[in-house]
Amino acid sequence: MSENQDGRVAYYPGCALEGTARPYDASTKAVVKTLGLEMEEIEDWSCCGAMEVKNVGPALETYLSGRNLAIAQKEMNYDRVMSPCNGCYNNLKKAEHDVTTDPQKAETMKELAEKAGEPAYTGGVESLHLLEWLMEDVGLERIRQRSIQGLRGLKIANYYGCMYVRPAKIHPEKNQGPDTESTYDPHYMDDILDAAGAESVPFHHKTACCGGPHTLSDQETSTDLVTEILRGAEEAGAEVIATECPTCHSSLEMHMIRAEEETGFQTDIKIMYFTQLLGLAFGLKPRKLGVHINSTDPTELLRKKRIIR
Amino acid sequence: MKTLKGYGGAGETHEKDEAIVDGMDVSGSWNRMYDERVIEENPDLESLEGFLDFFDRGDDPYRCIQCGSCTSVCTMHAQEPDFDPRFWIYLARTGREEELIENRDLVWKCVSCQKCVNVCPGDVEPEGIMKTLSEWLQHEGYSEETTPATFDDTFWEEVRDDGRMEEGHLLTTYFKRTGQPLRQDWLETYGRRVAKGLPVRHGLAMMKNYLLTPGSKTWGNTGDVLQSYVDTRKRRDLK
Repeated sequence: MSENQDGRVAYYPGCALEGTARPYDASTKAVVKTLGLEMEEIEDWSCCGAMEVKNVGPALETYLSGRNLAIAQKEMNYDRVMSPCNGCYNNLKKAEHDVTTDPQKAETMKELAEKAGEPAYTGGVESLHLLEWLMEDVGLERIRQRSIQGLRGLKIANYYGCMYVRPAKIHPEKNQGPDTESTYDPHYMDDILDAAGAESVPFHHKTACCGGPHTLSDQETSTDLVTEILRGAEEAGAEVIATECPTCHSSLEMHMIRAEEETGFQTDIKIMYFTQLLGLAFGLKPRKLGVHINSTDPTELLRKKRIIR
Repeated sequence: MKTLKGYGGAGETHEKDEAIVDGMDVSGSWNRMYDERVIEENPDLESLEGFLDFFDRGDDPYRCIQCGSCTSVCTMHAQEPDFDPRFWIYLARTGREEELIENRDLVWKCVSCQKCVNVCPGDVEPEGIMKTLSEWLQHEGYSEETTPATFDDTFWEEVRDDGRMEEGHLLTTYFKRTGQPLRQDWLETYGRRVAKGLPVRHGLAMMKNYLLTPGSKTWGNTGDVLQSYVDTRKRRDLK
């Protein structure tokens, strides 16, 4: 934790959290408030370019993320930026990596910022995923204490996807021993939800790909990949797949439906943002967490488990 | 005395009594020389190299040691055995355009999962090479514009125009451009399941975003600056 900021971070929600991932935004805010944490949205943030814009021009994504980091640092005086979205998080980490290892790209960013009349990013901000922020500034013990409702042994497959862990070279702080996050077998979400009373199941598809950027542009492939993930979670005995990325979440939801219609694949498994599960464990109201907006309605399961009334 | 260039390998052999290799006189110590196996100058490579340079991939293929780690972890290789990043990197650096063209229906399918980038011992970033090859195949007219390329362009235009991407616009513009119907069964089912629980407040906010696309207020001319950066690079390197 930085000394002068008392656990506060600049919040970078990203485009998806203004759209289909509104429940992720709502549940993130609810959980953060309950835990007594503080965050302030980056003034006038821009899109990170996801996995698409880099294919149009190589330095564009570095610039877009650099712009957000620079606003947080120079105009809002933060040295930590937190995003709950894997795509945003990955691009922030990549911008950090590029600025320190690729002088040519750093120079291009400076030139572009000058032309656009915007602050240039030159390093010095730490990017965090929401999972990392919770682990660093709250810790498992406080989550355990705060889980007054608890998840009552709900069987959860934790799905991290690609962008939270890969490539390892942009995550120098990971893989540093048992207390740090692993890029090969990530466990922060498992740890947090287990502390909240869930029973995380061993899940081979933790970091499998859902088809992400090709969700709409190569639908057959995405449906196949999602079906494999859903099957994997079923075989692991999970009742719920917990997600920590809006793209993974909507891709699982949408291609679950497409698989139903195209291949007849059926599953009872529910897909929920990990923040929704955490909020329920804290005893927050499902409506407040946007649980009813999920395309897979978990109400019946949660009642049966006596997690909600 | 003949000056030979080479380090061994399965090329053509030369036998000489006296020889200088890379400036070193090695006469007498051995006398069997091999030509290099890697083709250094290939006239066909020119157009491809321009592309690799444009996407900052200029040196990447040459760092590849052909270990095959990328292919062994590849998400798409598991789906389709002919999807083979290691092979395509070999084709790219030896300028085997014919064989690349034969693979035009596969290369674009890379889902950017970063597994290859993660494991590559030579820091080659095979994902970037595949994206570049896919661009090259389209630019040279060997392949129609692929659906992900249309999606990428549409996405970029969304961001360029006001700094943020609005999902509704992205979806409708992309479907229009690729000639797909705006109403698709599976997406309608998805929309229905989400809408049934959507609070009015959220619905209105999403509608406002779609209609007004507020975007980034201080975006100003940033989009134009970034677009001209893309255009200049394209003009310089690709003519």
